[in-house]
Amino acid sequence: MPALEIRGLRKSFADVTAVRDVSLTVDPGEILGLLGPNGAGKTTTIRAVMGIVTPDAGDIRIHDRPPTIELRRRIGYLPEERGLHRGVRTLDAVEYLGRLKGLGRAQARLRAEAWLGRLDLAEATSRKTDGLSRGMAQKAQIAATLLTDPDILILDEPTQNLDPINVKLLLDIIRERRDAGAAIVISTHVMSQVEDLADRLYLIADGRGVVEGRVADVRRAYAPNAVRFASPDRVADLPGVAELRDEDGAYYAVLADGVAPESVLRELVQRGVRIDRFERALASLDDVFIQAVREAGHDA
Amino acid sequence: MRNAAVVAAWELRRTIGRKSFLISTAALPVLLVITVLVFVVFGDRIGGAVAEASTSDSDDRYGLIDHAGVLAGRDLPPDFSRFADEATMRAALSRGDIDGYFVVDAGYMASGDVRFVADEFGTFGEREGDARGAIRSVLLDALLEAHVAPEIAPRIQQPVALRAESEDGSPPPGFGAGMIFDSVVPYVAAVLFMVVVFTSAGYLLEGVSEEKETRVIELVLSSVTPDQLLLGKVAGQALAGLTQLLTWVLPALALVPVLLAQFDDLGDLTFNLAVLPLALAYLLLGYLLFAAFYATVGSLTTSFKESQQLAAYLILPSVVPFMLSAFIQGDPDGTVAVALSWIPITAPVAGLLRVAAGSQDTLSLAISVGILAACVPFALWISTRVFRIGLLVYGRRLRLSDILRAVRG
Repeated sequence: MPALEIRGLRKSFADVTAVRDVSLTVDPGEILGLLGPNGAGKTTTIRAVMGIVTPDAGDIRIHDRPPTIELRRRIGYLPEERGLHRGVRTLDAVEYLGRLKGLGRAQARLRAEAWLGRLDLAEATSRKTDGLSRGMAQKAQIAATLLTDPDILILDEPTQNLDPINVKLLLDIIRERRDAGAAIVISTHVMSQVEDLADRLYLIADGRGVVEGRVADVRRAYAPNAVRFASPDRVADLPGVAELRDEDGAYYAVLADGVAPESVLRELVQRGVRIDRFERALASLDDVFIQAVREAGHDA
Repeated sequence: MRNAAVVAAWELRRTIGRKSFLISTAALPVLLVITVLVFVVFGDRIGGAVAEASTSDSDDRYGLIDHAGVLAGRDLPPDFSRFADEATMRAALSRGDIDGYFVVDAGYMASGDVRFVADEFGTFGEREGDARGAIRSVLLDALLEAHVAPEIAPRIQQPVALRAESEDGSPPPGFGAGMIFDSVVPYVAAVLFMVVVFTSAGYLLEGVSEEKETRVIELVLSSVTPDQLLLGKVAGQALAGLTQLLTWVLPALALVPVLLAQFDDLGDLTFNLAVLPLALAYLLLGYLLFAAFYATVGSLTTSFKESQQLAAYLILPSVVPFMLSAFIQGDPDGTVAVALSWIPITAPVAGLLRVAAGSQDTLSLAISVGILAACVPFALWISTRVFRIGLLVYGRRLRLSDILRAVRG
């Protein structure tokens, strides 16, 4: 049973249709990369899940139930537009957000201290929020998101403003939560993070879901007819290869139409070329993103 | 309700922790304590100085020549000295031995002419006034003693000792405790209303604007509904306002009697409880009305600065009754006073001022409270509607079409 399920979501604002048709699911213990160009409808989709905007049509279910404020409070939500209350201690600001999630005062305080400590903000707990750097403020917001150990996490651009050390810290935490059984949605423009983290991806363009599937399957589906192989020998003039170039110490061969990778491998073996590695080239998510958005006719 | 309570507690805690709130709240009781201490510790000296000022107009010394013989053979007050001729008296004035002199004309009995000479008369002619009082007293005593029967003389000196009373024999209202609690309290309540309502609603406005400006609103709205958020904010700021009011009123209830006891003529303190519910009704309804307005303004605008500018347009009409308080005081049941108390935005202040001025038109006051009570839910309803969409619109003001769409739902 999916932890989160969206079917046929549609939402318009006056004369602008933000979401035309979005349907997706996220299972427990799974990370879904939610991708799409600016204005594609990602944030509106997330806001609809969180009950911040009311959909015009479609069905949203959380743990197979219609969403209520109580169910939504079980979601850890880090919005793209985020901040902290000014002029209060960091610990108090995070504790308050935990209280709004239904935690008791003592419990909220304990958990806020624990998560702020985990995110290297222990020394900033008594500091006023106004005195935090952008990165620190973001980590405090992440602490507030994780305070209730939510079984669904929705993170909109979670690594924005973070340095590489803190990006790694956060990604480790996200993996931990996934391994603990949380269903996680990450909306980001950093494709390498999706390649690295996500189990599946859902790409929205022009308000519609245009690509959906396991990350490896999608990369394969969008892959060019090409192979990548590594060899210490010099290789040239391979039949059926339209273009052969060196990429990071390996060969990248673009095959002519109708030519199968197996024929190239056979040719290499017949020539006695030593092969350290041979693989079918996959599309990068950047390539998938660009191609899918272009095909959808989205004006980014 | 729990969510609204959490929001309310947060708002209350944040507001009463603000320096500006602490200073403005503490200032009034501190001022009152200082005033009471000054009167209790230095009361005798202040009272003595007041008494001295009221019984002895001045310490001037006067010379006197009586050509009419009215004062012949009489003992004069110690500040008067007789002189043989005016030249000697003028020389004494030049030397500073005396501050002025009187010459009672020979034809005084027919004309009443008395000449007063001084080297200076004071900025506001106060020396002439003092001199007039001094010579009048001396001459009146002499004339009464010489020409009027002793039993009639006191009546001429003080012809009336007026004692007024109501039809039922009770003493009439005057400037005493009754007047203070019937009229001054509502007037003070009107002033406090302005302070408390605009302080509390101002903090509400600041809170809404800040949450929108810092973008924390989206995190908050993922856990509470806009209605719960607004309810919590309104309740939290109401509690902060109540805290402020109690911080002012409770010390005042304890200290004002101490202060009033320093004055003998204020009588016993009695409290007209009939005034209290009306004042509280205006206070509560007025706060809710402006809280709704301010929450709307806060969600409409893009920054606190902008919201303050817009809120100023709401403050202006609400203080109109203070500008017209002379009309309301003069005729609390007149057209102007009644009209202002029937317009929701001016009703809280106008209604309190009418009560302060002794309005007897209970029906029109009831209508005023009724109109206000009917408008408050409507204003709060519109506010929640606009609040819902306004909170998530960043970087631009809501257009009228947005507002109308929000109101239509």
